[in-house]
Amino acid sequence: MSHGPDANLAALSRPGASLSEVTRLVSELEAALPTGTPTVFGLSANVTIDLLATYLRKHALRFGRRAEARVGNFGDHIGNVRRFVAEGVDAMILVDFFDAFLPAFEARVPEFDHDALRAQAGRYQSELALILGEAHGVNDVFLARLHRSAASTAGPPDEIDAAIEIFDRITQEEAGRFGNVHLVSTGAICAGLGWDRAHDIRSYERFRAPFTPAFLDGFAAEVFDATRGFGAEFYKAIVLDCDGTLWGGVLGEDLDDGIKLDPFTYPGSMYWRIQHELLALKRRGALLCLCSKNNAADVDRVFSSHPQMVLRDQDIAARRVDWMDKVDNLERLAGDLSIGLDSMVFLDDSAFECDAVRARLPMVKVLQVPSDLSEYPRVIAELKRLFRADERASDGALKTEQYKIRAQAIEARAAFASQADYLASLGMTVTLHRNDRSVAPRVAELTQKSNQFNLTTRRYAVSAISSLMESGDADVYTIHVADKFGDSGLTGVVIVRRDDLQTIRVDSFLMSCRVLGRGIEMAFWDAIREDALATGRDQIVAEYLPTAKNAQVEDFWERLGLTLVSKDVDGRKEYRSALSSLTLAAPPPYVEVIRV
Amino acid sequence: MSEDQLKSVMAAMLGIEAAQIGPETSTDTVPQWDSVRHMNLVIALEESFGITIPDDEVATLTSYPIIRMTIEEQLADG
Repeated sequence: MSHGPDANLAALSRPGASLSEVTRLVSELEAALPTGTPTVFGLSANVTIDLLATYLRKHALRFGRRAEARVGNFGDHIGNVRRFVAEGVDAMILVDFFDAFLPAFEARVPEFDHDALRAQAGRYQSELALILGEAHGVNDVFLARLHRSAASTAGPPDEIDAAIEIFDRITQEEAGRFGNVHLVSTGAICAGLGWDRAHDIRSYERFRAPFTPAFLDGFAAEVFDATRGFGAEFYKAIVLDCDGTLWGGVLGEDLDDGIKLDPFTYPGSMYWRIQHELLALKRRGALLCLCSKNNAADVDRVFSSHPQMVLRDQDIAARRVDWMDKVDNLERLAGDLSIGLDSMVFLDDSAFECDAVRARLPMVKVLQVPSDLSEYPRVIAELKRLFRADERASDGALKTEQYKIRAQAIEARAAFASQADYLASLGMTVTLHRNDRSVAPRVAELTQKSNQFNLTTRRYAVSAISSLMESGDADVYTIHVADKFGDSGLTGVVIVRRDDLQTIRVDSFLMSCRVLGRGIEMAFWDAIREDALATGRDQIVAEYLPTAKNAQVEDFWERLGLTLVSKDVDGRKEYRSALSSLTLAAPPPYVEVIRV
Repeated sequence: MSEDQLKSVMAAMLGIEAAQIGPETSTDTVPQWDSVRHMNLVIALEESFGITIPDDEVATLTSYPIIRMTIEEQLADG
């Protein structure tokens, strides 16, 4: 039986769908997708995990994509990794099942003395280091953590727990040395399902396949959640309605002490809990905004003085509380925060508002508070999935702090006579690094995410950035900005290629929006010029490639002082200047440039 | 057991049309019926029909009639 793609997609995500149903639906949904390049996985394991392919395809479909899996030889990680690297897979999945290290390993662990166990662990560590070293050019490597095949009995940890902890710590240490490795917490998947539902010991003996379809489904979900569908989704802000979303009732009618919000009484307790969840998301980097049809003063008063409010003024990055159209207000909020509408999630209890946003701003992700309030946590679970932090690019985790620093900076500015006075008071430093390999994941992330201040919008994978850094005919400059309010982290990238003996070409230049408006983009070009002149190159070539979002930098190269040599009908502009005679725009006097 | 259900499981796991499945359907006539698909088929059959296929029968499940008979036996035993 065939249904439409939407119905099929809903059926596919139904918990408990059988393996044959999932297999059939995956084939049908893939056939209905427009042609496109699949995400290619290489699978390597010391047990049979072929079925994982079906579930990777299933979860790719959640993001409207196809996935394809290649299965390596049983137990041959090194050989498999070499093959997958040569084939250019997008991602690699490495799974070691603890019991399979040696036949019936778990049952035999108590026989081993400490030295024998440590020798096994040492071998595991050196192999893992070798494997991950070989895989360093692959964008994403998913390394399964180790877990036991049956839940430990209640009581103190036994020898198997102790042995697994030794091996698992090695897994975490080795993973920590590589920027492209994600850990998959297999024990947590088992705990969520129940150990018996995660493993099939008959199938393990029969096919060397210890994992049930339910476990592999959970594993694949983790792979796609951890990368947000391999960059298909990058949400930054949650735009919240107030009445019926943050509290029960209608503020304008029920007044401050009539709205439903408190820790103990349903339904107020539901809203109170949801506010805690939202606060946790904010701590992890989501920007919370308000978009509410209310009197601004009423909402302000609830945020500042309602005794049970969890969210407070300082948790809200931007707000539009008035009687205007919500669609217009969403557009204004995007402007207030300098982010795209496609990085916003809209949460509202009104079907009318949700439909209006879906219809007029299809790029905004819309979540509706369910009319059956007990279902609200399910919606929040989905919201949490959208904002899952990618654990690799740890710099990104500082983001909330950084946006707040920027907001404080905006406040502080008001007290100075001129913007120049204010900027001078900040003690701003710009640190320029060249080919710093440890930040390759963050550089790749920035090339993937930056839209507005991005001259060429070329997207690079981690592996591409690493090879540019090593190539010798290119330089990847990274820009760190700090001031008295704090460290904004890595916020800009310049990629320069040396095409020939006379010329450097600016392949990419992008800055994160959170440091714009301070003239930093003009601060470091003198250093880049010096580097070029030091290699005997006197020509600089640069270009502007227009996109839907980068109009604000259309005249950046003119402002820097470069000479426009051509402009295409589609808006592409090319520049060329002699570096020795070039007058660069004056760098801002209040910025100190530090070279590392 | 419904034959339609069996055919639908086999069709999904072997990547063929349910309508094409009949007495002739076997590892000899379905080229893509390899060891990996066979393993996944066994897992899916056990799951869909709530049965346990004994070890010594797993390797013999090489055609539609044999699979149908084996499942009927297992359901009767259960």
